Amino acid sequence: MTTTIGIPILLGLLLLPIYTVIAGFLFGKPRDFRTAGIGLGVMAVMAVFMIGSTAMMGIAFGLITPF
Amino acid sequence: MSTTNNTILTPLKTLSVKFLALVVVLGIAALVMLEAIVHQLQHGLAVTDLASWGTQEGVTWGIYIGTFEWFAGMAVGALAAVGYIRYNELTRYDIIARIGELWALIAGLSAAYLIVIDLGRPDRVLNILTAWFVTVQYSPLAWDVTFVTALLVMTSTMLILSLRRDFSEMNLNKLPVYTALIGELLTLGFRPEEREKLDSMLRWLGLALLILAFTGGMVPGWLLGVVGAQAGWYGGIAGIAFLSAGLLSGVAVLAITAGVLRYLYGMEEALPEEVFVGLGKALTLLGFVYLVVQFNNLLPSIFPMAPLAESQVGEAMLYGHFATDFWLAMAAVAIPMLILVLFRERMLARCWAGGGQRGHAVGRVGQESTDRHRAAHVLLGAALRGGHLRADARRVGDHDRGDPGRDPPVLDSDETRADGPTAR
Repeated sequence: MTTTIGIPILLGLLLLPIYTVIAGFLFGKPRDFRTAGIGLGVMAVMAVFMIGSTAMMGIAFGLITPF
Repeated sequence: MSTTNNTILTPLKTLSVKFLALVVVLGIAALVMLEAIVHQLQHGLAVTDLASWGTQEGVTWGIYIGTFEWFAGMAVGALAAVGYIRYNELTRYDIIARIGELWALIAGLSAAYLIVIDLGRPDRVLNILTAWFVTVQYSPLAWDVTFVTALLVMTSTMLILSLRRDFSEMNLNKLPVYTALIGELLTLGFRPEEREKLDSMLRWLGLALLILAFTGGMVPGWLLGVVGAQAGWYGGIAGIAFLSAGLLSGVAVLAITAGVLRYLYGMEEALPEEVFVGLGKALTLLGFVYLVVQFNNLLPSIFPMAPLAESQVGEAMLYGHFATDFWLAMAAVAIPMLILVLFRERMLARCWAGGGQRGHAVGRVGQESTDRHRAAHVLLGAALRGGHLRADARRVGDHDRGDPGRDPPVLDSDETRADGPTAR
């Protein structure tokens, strides 16, 4: 069914790079969880920043929209 | 190396009148655009004069989404180039990777902005975000929002982590104060033993960017390809058509940016001709693939058995209303591609003659750099030949590790020079 194709596409295709990064950072050689943590932390902060700034942009634009 | 670094840092240390003039001109253009945005937000999308078009008139989304697709495409191409360079550690192409990281970020932000502004009421972006958990189950637009967000997050992570590594090797005291401040921030808590892990992480991130480019890179094409009512767009090839166009325009924008930098700031040593020959080969292949995909895209619509609406679109593009635009666009890809193919030998010969003259410079930066330089050629060349990549990469890797059991790459021997670095 068309309406259920989204979940396989999201989990199986779109998030593949994220799995790769998490697995590669944590278990790639040389093992160093501190540096891996810094990398994943940067990624998490950037995710919050990107989504948050998009929302802020929408709100800021919305302020000058009279309708 | 110091000469190269000095050349690269010149733009950071100098402030010319031409640069300031350019900033003023672009600043004025930005202000004019800002006024236009405020005007549209206050009076609605009707001011774009697309109000009488709309879905019922045959235009699904208008010029904003067209521009969005263009930026998303460039981001995909830049992503793929950065991923390839970082994953294979082609250090000779490091500057191209850095340009690519910046371009992917700029293009991704522009794409995101264009989606928001196209909503007419941009505060509705909050609906997109809050309804994502539901819409992602069926809406290509939600997949696209996911892709663009992933692109922005991963590219900015790549930029930050690669800068962390690069700044850790630099003497921050010799940099301009604003650059040094960024360096201090990015190398916060850096330990020397991190270096090896950072190299490995950048490779993994490079692989992830490559995957993202070739999987998520199809999504903006699906946006148009799944709309059954849109003749000319609907069909299974839309994702691939978008990917092939994106890869081509993304690598092209990197080549143009690098060319402008080299010309304006005299970066002949940092951006040698070999790098442009590599990019040129990539563009030749990507241009060819693009034209093949477009041919496949168009053929069904001009075939006598095509549905009426499809054939009308196909004919309008090939012989009718859109013919000038269409053929100019095709020529803009085909002519540079043919030039790159026809003058390939001459470019390579010139490149290798230049390489000989630069022998002393290469000698200065040490054997490792020379090996990396060779590795870059072998890997890019092999990739463009569409095969032998693994074998060549392995051979170069063995050579880098000093494995005496295998032959080193013989790129600069006389017999390979005639055919360039990819002759083997």
